[in-house]
Amino acid sequence: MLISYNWLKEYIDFKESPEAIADILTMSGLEVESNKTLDDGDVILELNVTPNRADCLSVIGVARDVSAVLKKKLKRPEINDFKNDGDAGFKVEIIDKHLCHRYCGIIINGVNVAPSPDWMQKRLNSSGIRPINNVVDITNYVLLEFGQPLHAFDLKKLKGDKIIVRAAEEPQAVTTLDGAARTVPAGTLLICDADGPVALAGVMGGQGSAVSDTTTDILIESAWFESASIRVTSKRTGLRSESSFRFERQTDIDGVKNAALRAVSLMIELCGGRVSGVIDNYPTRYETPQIALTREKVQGFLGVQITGDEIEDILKRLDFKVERQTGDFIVTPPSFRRDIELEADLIEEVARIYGYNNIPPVMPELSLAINNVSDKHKKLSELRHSLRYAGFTETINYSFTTREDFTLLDIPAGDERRKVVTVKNPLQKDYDILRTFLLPSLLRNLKYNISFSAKEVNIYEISTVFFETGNGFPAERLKLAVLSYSSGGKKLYTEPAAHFYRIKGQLEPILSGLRCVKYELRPSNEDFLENDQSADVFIGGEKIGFFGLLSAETAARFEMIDDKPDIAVFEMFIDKTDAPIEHERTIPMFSANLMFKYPSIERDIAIVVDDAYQSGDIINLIKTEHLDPERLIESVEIFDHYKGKNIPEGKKSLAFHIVYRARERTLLESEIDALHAEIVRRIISKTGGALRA
Amino acid sequence: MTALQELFLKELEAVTSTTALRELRSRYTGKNGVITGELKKLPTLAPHERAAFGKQVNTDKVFIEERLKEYEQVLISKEIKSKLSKDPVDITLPGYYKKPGGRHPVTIVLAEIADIFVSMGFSIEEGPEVESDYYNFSALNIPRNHPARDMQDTFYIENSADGQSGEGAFVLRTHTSPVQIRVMEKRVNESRTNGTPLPPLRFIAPGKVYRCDSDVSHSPMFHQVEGLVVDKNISFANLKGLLEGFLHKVFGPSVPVRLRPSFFPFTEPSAEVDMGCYFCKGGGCRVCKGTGWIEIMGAGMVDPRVFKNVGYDTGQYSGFAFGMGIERIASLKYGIDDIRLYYEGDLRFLRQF
Ligand SMILES: [Zn+2]
Repeated sequence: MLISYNWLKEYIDFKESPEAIADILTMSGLEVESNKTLDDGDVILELNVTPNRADCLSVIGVARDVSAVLKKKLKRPEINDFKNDGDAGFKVEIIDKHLCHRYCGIIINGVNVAPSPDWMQKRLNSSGIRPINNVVDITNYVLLEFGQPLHAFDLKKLKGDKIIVRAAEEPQAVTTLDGAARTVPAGTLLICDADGPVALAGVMGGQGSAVSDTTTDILIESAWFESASIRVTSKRTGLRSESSFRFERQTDIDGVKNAALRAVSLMIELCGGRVSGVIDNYPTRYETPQIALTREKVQGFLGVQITGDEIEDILKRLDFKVERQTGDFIVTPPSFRRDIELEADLIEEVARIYGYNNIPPVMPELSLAINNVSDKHKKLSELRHSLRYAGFTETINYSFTTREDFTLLDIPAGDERRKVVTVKNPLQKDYDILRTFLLPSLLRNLKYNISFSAKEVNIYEISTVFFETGNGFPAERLKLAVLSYSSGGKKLYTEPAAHFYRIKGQLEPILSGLRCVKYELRPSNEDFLENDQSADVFIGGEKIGFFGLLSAETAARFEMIDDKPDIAVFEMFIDKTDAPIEHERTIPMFSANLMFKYPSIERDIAIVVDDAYQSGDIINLIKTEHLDPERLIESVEIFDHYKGKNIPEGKKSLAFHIVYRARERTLLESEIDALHAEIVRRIISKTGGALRA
Repeated sequence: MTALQELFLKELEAVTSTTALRELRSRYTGKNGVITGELKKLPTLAPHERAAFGKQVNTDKVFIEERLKEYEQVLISKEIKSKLSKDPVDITLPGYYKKPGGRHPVTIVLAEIADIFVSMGFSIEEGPEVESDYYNFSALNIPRNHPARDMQDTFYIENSADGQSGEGAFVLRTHTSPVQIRVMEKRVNESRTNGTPLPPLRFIAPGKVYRCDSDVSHSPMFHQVEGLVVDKNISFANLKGLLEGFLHKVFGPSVPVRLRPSFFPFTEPSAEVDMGCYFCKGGGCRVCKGTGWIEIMGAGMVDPRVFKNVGYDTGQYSGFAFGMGIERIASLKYGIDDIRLYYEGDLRFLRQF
């Protein structure tokens, strides 16, 4: 809200500079966001008035706060009461009394509509309101001064000498002052004459009854409308006015008539005319609450030694009624402070005028308690750490994405990832769903970086994804996605492994870091990955992720048509592994392997088998339980994987290193010779392979 | 020196490699070696000669083994040296290693904040990013059709329950404050179940939040950290003490901190927390819009209406809540003037952290 420094000065005697006033306002709850000096030397302050402070949506309201801080008297403009100079025979009927608690109408005959005086136009302009004519300008002037919205009707255009305030029973057509024909829904509060609606209550007047150059008789409306109803009308029509803004925040019901009278005084002074009817229909009385407050509570709650006198003084300066009962208080807030309902609200009033700066900072004294920092946060931070030192940079992408992802990545109909949560009012029309997987975001990150000629892109993201469940809350899951791209540019040292194995090498430590050992890999069925260069990760029969090389077609669809795009990716759920990431700490978490006390015996096997066999198949054969019931095999590791010279076409050579160890005794060479020979025989018979010479 | 020892030394002199040494060792001390051969002579000797002879052979054996061992070490180090000198290094070439990736500035700042609060005994709590209207608004004293809802531009979720922004609606949470409600509700339920008194609370709740707004200083998604302390005799002065301590830890002990009255529906009294402008040191600049102060957090004493909504005994407990935007803190710490940089995934930006 814009406030003129000079106007403010009319209500309080102060010598403070505009900067000092801005500081006082900011530090007592009305933040001054900017200020502008006008040609005439006046300074316009832009205030950020919070929604609870409807009382400060006026010059007098702001002046009241300043006067409370400066401890100076507030000078209110004089209000003359007007008698009914003759019964105009005009009636105001309020049908929906719960929506209109008070309606005051004053009739003035014989006004002369003309431009308003310069001083008034200037004040309106500097407050952001366009001057129209003296009648309308006066209603706006009083709105700015008192915060009470007023409306002036051309009396001759109202039919049947009456105003009816009622909610629309059915959708109703209304042409508003701005010339727009609107249809408002049933329930909208309307101001009607005998024929129908003449204004949208509290929001905007109707065109048909507007004051024009030829108007001579007017009805000034000053009313109290229920805030939520006005807000709904304003939202539904998309109309926001100075009036609706104030009604939504609750105006001062006791000030309704005063504001009308203030306007009448100005009209008679500036437009001529005489009052011929004063109607004040006030069917729904406002009961101000009485709130008990104790000095001890104020002191304890704020942590400051404030006296009872100081508390009483502050509240009185803000126009609260204070009854004192031996150190305690019964406080009645003024009718313009409907935000004050509880003791805590009063304490805030005391605190802000006392000054937050005068409250000392004191560290709280808290009782010790075993604190719940879940394993999840530790594991995630370890995960980030290990990815970082493996060369990956973390990205964070918006949760919003587009359905185009599914086409670009060939996600089949019925796939879980298509169970999306949709945003009703997205910022970008196409980006109206929440992510169910992260890969598309990382691909876009990659594309963005390639556009800056990045040669190596190694990135990851950890984020919540969302699945529609059909009933209320979506399912929120935690995912990790990793992308590794290399343009194959010149490098000092060659990479020791192919890209597929490098990305798999990222996945494996992550799985073991999550204490997830019982996972299974199967050839991937993801269409966006290269067929024979990818795998899906399963735990307990449930697919938790995929990894491998992005197919050339997919890369092309993302318009990354390198000569040979080399993009390896993986993505997996990290909240639902063997040991869930939120795993509660139990004992034992796992049993440490204590076999190392007795010496081991080590043997190698090198075998030539058909290409169709994967190293994992051979390891499974080695570990066969019925050959090794005592579990003497401690570990099996592959140390060679070779195709080419000296190996027949369609075959490959695999070599494994086996460590044998017994838990409770020292092994004999002879027994291991026998067991090892048995294992070798078994592999040969099962695979049809041969020992490598 | 015995004849055997002399002979051995002569042979040892001729050895120049570890392979030859191994061969020599096996010839003297192996299963069928010279020493064994000597010992085989024992039965042929007169009984009175045997003890002296045995002793002599043993002395020879120890002598030979020691010399072998000494010489082996000499040979090994010689061989390593000669290998290295055949493959000289360029000590200025970069070492072979994976260049570490960048950390996301949001993650860095979140971790820093969490560390500070965890060190003070706070726990870390979480809540869903898609929230119900109740948790995001109503329970926090932000009723329907109240202008306070305009303070946060809200993304609504398409769902069949209710077309309007009513009680049945779901939203992308506009703040992390709903976690306050969830944690307090949970504690109230636990206390009702096992009859224990309501515990004091102190936790932070970090996470993503969403607002329907986008420009250089507003992002439709950003991160917040919410904090809540509930205990006996918690005062506004305590709120001030804790937040001042926190900001001094993050931005340095000399940074001025001030609280000024504001409005949040779920706190009363409410405060906006400002810190002295980092850049102009209070003189006024573009960053602080000439005021010398930068808004950094919102805070306040927990509104009794909120305690009532979750069933926390207001007679016994008081508390305070605070919230801050992570990107805002990161931007101040690193001098970043466009919030969109955090979400573009530009490695030129991210690798600096
Ligand atoms: Zn500055």
